[in-house]
Amino acid sequence: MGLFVGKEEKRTQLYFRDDRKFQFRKMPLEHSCIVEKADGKYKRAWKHFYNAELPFSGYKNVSGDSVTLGFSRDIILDPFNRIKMGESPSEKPRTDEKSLKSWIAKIATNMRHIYSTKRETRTAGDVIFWLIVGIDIVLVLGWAIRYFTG
Amino acid sequence: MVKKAKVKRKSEVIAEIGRGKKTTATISESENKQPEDSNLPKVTKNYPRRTMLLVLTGGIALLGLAFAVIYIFTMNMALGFIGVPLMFVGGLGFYYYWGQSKDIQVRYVGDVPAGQVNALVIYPDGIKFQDIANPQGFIWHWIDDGKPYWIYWDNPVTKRLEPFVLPDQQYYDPQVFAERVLSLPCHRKIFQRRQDLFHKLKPFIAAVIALGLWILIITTTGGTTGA
Repeated sequence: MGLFVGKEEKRTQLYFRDDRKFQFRKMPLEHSCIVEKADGKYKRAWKHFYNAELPFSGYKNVSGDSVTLGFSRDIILDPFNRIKMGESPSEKPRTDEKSLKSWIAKIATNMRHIYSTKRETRTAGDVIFWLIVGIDIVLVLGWAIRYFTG
Repeated sequence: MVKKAKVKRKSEVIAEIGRGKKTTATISESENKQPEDSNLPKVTKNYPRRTMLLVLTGGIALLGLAFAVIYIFTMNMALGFIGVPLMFVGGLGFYYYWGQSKDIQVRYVGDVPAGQVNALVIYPDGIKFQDIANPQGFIWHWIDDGKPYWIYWDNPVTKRLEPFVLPDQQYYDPQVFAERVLSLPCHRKIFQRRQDLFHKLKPFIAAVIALGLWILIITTTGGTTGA
């Protein structure tokens, strides 16, 4: 499977908005981040740590899941300080500017490696092209059957 | 001695729904299949949406196939031009929904608290909806049900439930992080592979094939209304 659409891995985020509203939402998890995408581009992202997940057994129409906390102003919300501090991308940075810059640089370097090795993916244009070709082939076959037999 | 958690039978769940204790759970056959001592969470599977989409897309594909077959025997081009794309679109939709992961449809239903619930409480070992006496702090609105709730957290320092207050930014803005750090627009441009000649000519090839077909069909069948 996955000829046209890859299977996205998703995690549940308990998201607090700036207007005092909150929601449980299932979001794609890519490159260790919970991401919000539009037109295939990343619009907002929050760093995801397994250590910061909290179990939620489900309520009303929201399914139970391991839930990560997130809010609109920052990429990490860890009220219980469960994530180890450090400069590795698997840790949360210290709040001083130097540590934060180094941490961000490591994530960016990692992404650079990913993009440099990433193979070209199928675009919507490719799909449309092959769809037109397929339709044309069926039309020609129909025409040929009718033309040569009738 | 550890007491085993009681797993409710289907008849008990039905009785609870009848009494109004349980309002959100739906019952499926899968609930009955869990062994009584498994301690696994109760699961409901929402198959109908996926099933409906499969039926709909499959129906579209079959309708398109029927049109295409009629087109082959009548040479009615209108049916051909409607039927063949319908067949492809329906087929693709069927293929897509068939491949959708079933686990996304699974809903784990937690224990529904009895009585009033006015707060969401964040504990170090989990998140719960529960009732808090004399709540303080600001009211939040839960988008999923549109109702107001207080939000509390179990402060590990004071060891008490306190109104939850979000911190101001400490690290990085989510939008800047996504657009600059994860996306790396400049680097992506550098690493973007150059298109080969076939990719550049693709739209022209498609246009030429379509035009050639039209000319072939019109000149050999006498038009688009049938032979």
